[in-house]
Amino acid sequence: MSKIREKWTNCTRGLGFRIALSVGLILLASYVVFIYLIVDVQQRFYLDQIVREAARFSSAVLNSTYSNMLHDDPESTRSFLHDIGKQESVSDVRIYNHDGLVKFSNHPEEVGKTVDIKSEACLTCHSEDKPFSEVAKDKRTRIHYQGKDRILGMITPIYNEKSCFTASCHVHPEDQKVLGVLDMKMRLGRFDAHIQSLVIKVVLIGLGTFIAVLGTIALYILFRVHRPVSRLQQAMQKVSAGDFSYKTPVESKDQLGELATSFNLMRDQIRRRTYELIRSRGEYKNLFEQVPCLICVINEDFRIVRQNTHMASLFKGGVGMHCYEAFKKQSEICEDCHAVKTFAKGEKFAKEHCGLDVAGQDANYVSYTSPIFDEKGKVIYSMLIAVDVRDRVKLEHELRVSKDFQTNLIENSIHGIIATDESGKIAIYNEAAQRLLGYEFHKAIGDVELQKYFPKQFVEMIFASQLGKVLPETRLVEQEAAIYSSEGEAIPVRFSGLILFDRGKPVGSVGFVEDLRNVKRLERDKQASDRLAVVGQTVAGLAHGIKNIIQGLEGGVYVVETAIEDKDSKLMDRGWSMVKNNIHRISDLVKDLLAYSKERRPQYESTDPNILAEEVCTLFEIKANEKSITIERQFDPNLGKMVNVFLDQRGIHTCLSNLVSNAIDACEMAQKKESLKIVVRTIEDNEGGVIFEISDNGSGMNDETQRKVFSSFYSTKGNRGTGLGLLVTSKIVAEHGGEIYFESAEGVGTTFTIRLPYGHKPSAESESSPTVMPLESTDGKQIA
Amino acid sequence: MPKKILVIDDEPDVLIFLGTLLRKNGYDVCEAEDGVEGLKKVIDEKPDLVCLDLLMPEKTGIKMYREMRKDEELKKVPVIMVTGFSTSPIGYMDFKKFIHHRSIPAPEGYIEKPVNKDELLKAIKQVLGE
Repeated sequence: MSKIREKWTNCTRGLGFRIALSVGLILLASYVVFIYLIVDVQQRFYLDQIVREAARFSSAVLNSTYSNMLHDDPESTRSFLHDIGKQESVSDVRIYNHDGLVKFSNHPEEVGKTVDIKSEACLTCHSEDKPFSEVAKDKRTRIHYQGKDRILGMITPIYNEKSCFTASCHVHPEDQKVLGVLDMKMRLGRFDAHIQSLVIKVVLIGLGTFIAVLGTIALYILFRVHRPVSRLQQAMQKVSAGDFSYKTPVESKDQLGELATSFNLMRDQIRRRTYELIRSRGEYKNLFEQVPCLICVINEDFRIVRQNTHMASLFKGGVGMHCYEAFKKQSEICEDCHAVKTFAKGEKFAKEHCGLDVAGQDANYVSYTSPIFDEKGKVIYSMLIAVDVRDRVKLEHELRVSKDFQTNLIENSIHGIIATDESGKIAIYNEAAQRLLGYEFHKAIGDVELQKYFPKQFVEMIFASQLGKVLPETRLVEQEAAIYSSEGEAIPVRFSGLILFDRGKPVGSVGFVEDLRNVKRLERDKQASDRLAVVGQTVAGLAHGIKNIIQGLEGGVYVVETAIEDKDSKLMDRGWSMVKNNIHRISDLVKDLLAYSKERRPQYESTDPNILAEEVCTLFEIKANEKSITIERQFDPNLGKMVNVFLDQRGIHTCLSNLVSNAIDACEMAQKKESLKIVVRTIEDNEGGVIFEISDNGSGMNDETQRKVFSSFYSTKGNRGTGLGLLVTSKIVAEHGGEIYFESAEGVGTTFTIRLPYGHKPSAESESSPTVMPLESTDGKQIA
Repeated sequence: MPKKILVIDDEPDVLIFLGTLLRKNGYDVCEAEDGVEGLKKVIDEKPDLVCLDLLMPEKTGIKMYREMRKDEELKKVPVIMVTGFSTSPIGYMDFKKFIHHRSIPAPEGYIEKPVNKDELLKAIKQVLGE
């Protein structure tokens, strides 16, 4: 029962119901008024007709009785009225005289009775106490009930006419205006039945139309209003309950349709925003938890209201604790607390702190406090974000230690260390460099004249790197060079330099300068002492060599003596040639010894290396030709054009002579005896200098011989060699600051190479310091 | 029948001198200029004695001596070393090695350069048991 009531209540609350109800009521009222008006008009129309008919009928009756009256024939009148009274529609028909006496009637019993002037028939005219002369037609009628029937009464006055008062009977005087009244009563039964049927028809039609119209409207409202509105309502209820899955169907293009479309749009927007809200809330939560920072929210009492997991992993604290307890294990607020400032000013503040972590170790962190406002703009919380900077602090410490170490290393290095920054200015200049070069520290730092500090080659590398050129080499390794000190002294140094790059971009350079003055002095001393030692050793070797020569001489003398004794002239020749040979050997030995033992400076003079080489070739041409050896010349024409080549002509001539002579000997010793060839080459050295190359395709040297090539008194030529030739040659080359090396393969041939710098002008009094060659060069060639 | 002596030396002067000296003193002499030739002649000529120079090209005297001593036949041939080793810095090291090589017996005699005629003849006579 209650369910039905609830449904009813729901139904009556519905917009559709209310619209339908209003429309129904208005329609009903309209119909009622409409029916009433129609029936009323009809009724009046018909009544008017009946009245007019009654009037006509009364007139007809009067006219019919006129002649009877005039002829005073009451019986005919009586009979006439009786006949009329027999008609169904006529209820009563009577004639009164002036005094209200019934003279004629269809009911014979009424004749002779007087009608009370106050009866309903008389009141029509006599209400004003005085009889009227003429009455309006509508005032002559009256309707009253006779039993169940409605009766229309009509009074027609009978006026006095000339014929009446002039008639022979003289009953009526001339001054009497109204002679009597015809009272006609007609039944309204048929008329009422007609009206009733009319009312019923109209009402029925009206009711049918009403129901049809109301039904149509109700259906329209039900489908076009109630249902979409209910659906919208339902959808709204679902959305409000958080269910976004329901989509309102759009069934029409009217306002409700638009409403549904708008609602769907709204639902979509709400759904999107809700999801966004949920997602961003999740993200913020995730951020709060996962951000690699320590985050906590503190209230005005500095108690932690909320904190993330990182916070809990580093500091032993929790919600409800004071922040200073959690971070620093303090019982008091920090002296330099900036959360206080955040609460007071509502602004962000930051500071680096050192707290104690869960393990009780120092934990450096940078904390940022930012205000959280309530809706009135008051700071209610402070969000504290702390970034763990332990690693940074540790790195800073390590960096400082490392930097101190490096600074110490640089400052206390026995070698000069000079570095430039990105812009090519001197940035590092240590004490050793200062001692070496003499420029003061504060003047050197920031200096851009790099040629004062670095060898030319390295300065060019720095400039090239600054211009962004691709360098074939980015470092110089142990290059020997000269740098001029502040006092103009040329200091021999061993220099290593390095262009520094950071991700392919030059960021500076560093040079390591080793003072070679002492080394050079020692080297010179050593060379001198070496020469003395060699001379000392030489005495032993010399004794051996001289012994051999003496042997030869003694032998020669013995052979000569024997030949004289035996008179053997052939033996005589052999003996004598032995004597001569050995005297020649002594001479050679002495010459080489002198050349080797004497310390002499090269006598530089402008030289054409090609002419020098040509002289040597010409010198040995005849000897070589005798032994069927060709000397081929391959001279670099460029060298002949140069004017700045300065060599000790005598020294180099000796060197080349020794090498060509050796080559001839090697050819002689070769197994093959054909197409023996010596090639003398001159080449312009790309690194600045002259190269002499003497190649032969003679016997070549075995490993053992190769090792002993530059040893003193080593000879493969028996009594023909002194074993000093190559020693002398290498000495002269060293005096020039050049180098000598060879390549040889047994049975294939040997190539000796002398590489000489261009040398100095004769006027230059600079000290010649022969370069100390490493024992083995990088390309595996043996070097003197 | 004169005894045959093989003289091995890379220096022609020495060969002429020693050849003349030994022929003059009644020996049959054959000569070789290096160790390879020397070893060949030891086999071919079957000398009674070998005068061997220690420092020579091709095969040095030391190498040749070792080979002779390894051979069953040749090791019976007496050898006199003729050398300037005692004062030459290069030869000295070789000689040291040679002397300290226990597996090889020392040569029957040696004399230093420059060769003293009488010393050499005396040493030859001693080795040959004359």
